[in-house]
Amino acid sequence: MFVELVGNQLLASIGELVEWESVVCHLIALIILTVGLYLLLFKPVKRMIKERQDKIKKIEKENSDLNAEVKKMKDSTAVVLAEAKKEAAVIHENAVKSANQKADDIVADAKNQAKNLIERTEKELDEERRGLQSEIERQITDVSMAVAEKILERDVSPEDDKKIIAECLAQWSKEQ
Amino acid sequence: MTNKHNITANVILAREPDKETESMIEKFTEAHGCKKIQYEIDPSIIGGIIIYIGDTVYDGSVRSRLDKIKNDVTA
Repeated sequence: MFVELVGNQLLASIGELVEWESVVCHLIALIILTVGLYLLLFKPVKRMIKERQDKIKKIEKENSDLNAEVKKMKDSTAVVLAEAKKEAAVIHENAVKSANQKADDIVADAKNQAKNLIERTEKELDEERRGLQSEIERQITDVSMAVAEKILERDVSPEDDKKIIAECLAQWSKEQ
Repeated sequence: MTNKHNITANVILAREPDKETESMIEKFTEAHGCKKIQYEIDPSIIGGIIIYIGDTVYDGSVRSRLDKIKNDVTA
């Protein structure tokens, strides 16, 4: 009852203070303002926010795709790198083998050439030695024969000559 | 077969032969059918005798013996 009394008194006081037409006008103005703000400001802002959200989602998706691609590329790069390392190791091994083979071939060839050179030189030296030996023998023979010739020219007496002739004639006659 | 009759024997000696040597040579050449002997003196043969009768050569010179020894040594 007290409350009802206070409420009635309050309403009466408000009714004295407030002009209801003005309140209605304010309400209408508020509604118009609200509708205008809703149409002119809230919807574009909401749309803009949605667009930005979509854009952010798109960017995030792109980013995620890029990250996935980067990861994939990283994995692929790791595989390629591993294969490249393996291939490099094989190439290195082959190069070392080839170099060793070439080195062995060069050494073998050099040894062969050296052996041939030694054999050829020994052969040439042997031939030269034999040639010199023959030449010395020939010269000794020539000198010996020249000396023998001189001695015989001096020492073959007419009697010796006669004896030689007689022996030759006797031998030739016997051979007939 | 070469006919050695009526051909000249060419005889090469280192020095002039004495009568005895000439006689031995004549005997030998006559035995080979030669009627005539032509002597030639060549001191380079040193000693001995070389006789040419037709195509046959009898070489008993000291020079040929030396050459033979030389060839045997150098061979």
